[in-house]
Amino acid sequence: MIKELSVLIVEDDDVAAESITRSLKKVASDINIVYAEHGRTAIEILESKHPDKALSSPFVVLLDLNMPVMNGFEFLEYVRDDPSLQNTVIFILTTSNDDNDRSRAYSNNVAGYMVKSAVGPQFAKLAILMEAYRNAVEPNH
Amino acid sequence: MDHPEAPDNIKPIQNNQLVGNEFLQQLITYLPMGAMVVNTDATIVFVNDSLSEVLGYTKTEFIGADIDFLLPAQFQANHKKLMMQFFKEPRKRKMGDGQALYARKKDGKHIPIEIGLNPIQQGEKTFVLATLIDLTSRHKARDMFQRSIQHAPHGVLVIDASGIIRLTNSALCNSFGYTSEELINQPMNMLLPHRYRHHHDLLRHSFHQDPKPRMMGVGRDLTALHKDGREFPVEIGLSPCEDEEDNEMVLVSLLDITKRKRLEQELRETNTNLEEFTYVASHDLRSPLRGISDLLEWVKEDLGSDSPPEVTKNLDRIDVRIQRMEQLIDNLLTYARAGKVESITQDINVNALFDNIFELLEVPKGITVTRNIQLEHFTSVWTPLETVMRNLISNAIKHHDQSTGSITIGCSAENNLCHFTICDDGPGIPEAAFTRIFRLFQTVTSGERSGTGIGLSVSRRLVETHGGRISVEANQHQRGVTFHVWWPRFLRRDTHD
Repeated sequence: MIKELSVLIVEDDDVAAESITRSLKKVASDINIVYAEHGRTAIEILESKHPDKALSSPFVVLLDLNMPVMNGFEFLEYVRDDPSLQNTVIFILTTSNDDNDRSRAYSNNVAGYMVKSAVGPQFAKLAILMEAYRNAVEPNH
Repeated sequence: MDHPEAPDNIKPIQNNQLVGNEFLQQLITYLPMGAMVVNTDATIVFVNDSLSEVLGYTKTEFIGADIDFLLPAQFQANHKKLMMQFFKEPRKRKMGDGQALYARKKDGKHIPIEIGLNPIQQGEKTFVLATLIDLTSRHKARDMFQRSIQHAPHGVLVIDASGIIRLTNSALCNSFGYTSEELINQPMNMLLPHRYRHHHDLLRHSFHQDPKPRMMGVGRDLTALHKDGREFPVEIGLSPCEDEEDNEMVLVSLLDITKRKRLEQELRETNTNLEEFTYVASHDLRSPLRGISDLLEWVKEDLGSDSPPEVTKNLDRIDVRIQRMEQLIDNLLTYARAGKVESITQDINVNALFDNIFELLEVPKGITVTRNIQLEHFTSVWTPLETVMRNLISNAIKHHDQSTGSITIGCSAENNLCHFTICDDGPGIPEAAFTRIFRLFQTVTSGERSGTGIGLSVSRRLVETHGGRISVEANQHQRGVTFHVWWPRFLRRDTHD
């Protein structure tokens, strides 16, 4: 059985979320996308506690850093401290090219860090990565 | 006067001379201080060499003279009476009982002295052996000590073992707002915030158990109590000492660090603000811009090829502005980061530094670059200096308006700075803009040559954060301008941690 890859987009800006979605659909049309407007909602979804949003494995998380309620770093630290969530694959997608952000993100074991202004080529890379990931989690593909 | 003979045939004093008594003469002569023998008539009958040296008179000028000629005028009137009293009850004692005594030298100068009086009995007669010690150097030392305390740039207190203030200086009084009269002989507790007073007594006792010079309250935030009731931050050093009577005292050095603390606070706030600003610029300003850019893209896609030309033209103009805005934000961040001091220092080989720059710069065929490097090596930080020089040289090349030209780079030592000059023969800069060009986003050219308005402001920031200066002047004998950069060539503790 072919598992569809799901993507959880954690992003408070609807335009940014739509932009990511459009780019993803261009490289992988069958991708299943779930939105969370900030970290708190994302955790509810990951812990299967959300009333109407659910996520099936395998999935990756695309995480913005700057959000209300629970920002990207707070989300990262929560996930890395939770044994049942700590293996989640997380990519950072942000407008910031701040060195401090970058090193702080990598110290929380993110799978990748992408700056949105350079989203075009970066997204191609992301698509390749996701494809590889999909193959890795589906040995019978 | 009648001189009855001494019963043992020793006639020590005849005609006011100490004679025939070799032993006594030698004894007095070799005393390590000025000494003289005086009879009850206040006549000097013998002096030793030391006294001549101290007061400058010859022996013959002393002998037979009345003692009063050695006294400053104001003491002469009363002196005879005091002598009478002494001879009534002669006993060994110090003269003047704690008052300051002075002797008059032959040259008229008064010197501070200490006088010991020792009665000598010769049969019926009483003489006095007066020893005289010159206190001039002791007084000088004491004055120097007092002056150095009084005028020390930091506050000084001397506290005795029971916590009473015995000495203050002017800096201390200024710090606390009291006069020294208000402090002397008062308990030092008055200078402490109330909440510390009880505990401080215990601390003082433990200091006296084991008195060693040390800083007080290291790592704690020490405060002292000003007369106006407000507290101020201080740094305090303690060292044990003893007064003249061997009483244990503590010498307290107190530094009012209000200004420093205030500056630190301001600096911290400024830095926090700048960091916040930088963060906001890199996140919050960029996000909506990205959004606008994406929306524009989709609008274009949705319109397809049949959109009115005006709309297409205006959409493109929006695009240009978005890119410019992104560039501005990037530059703002570059500028903000230029305020960080580079800490890695190394030997700077000036020629190698310029070689590095020219490796990456395209110099047009018509432009000749001349170097005049007189100072070849110094120790500093590489990257910021290279950035500044690269900016200035690439500016000189980029803004040159003719097919041929020359750029001269100079480097020489000037006091503790290294003086770089970048001289071009380009179009020059209007004098009115000389200070403006170093500000953020200021440009003096327009169109294609126009820069981002960031290079010079970043350069200025880099130069100033590393302890240097930058300026520009018009050339006297040719076209163009010369940029000057003074860069520290020695490591300083105030700019390099």
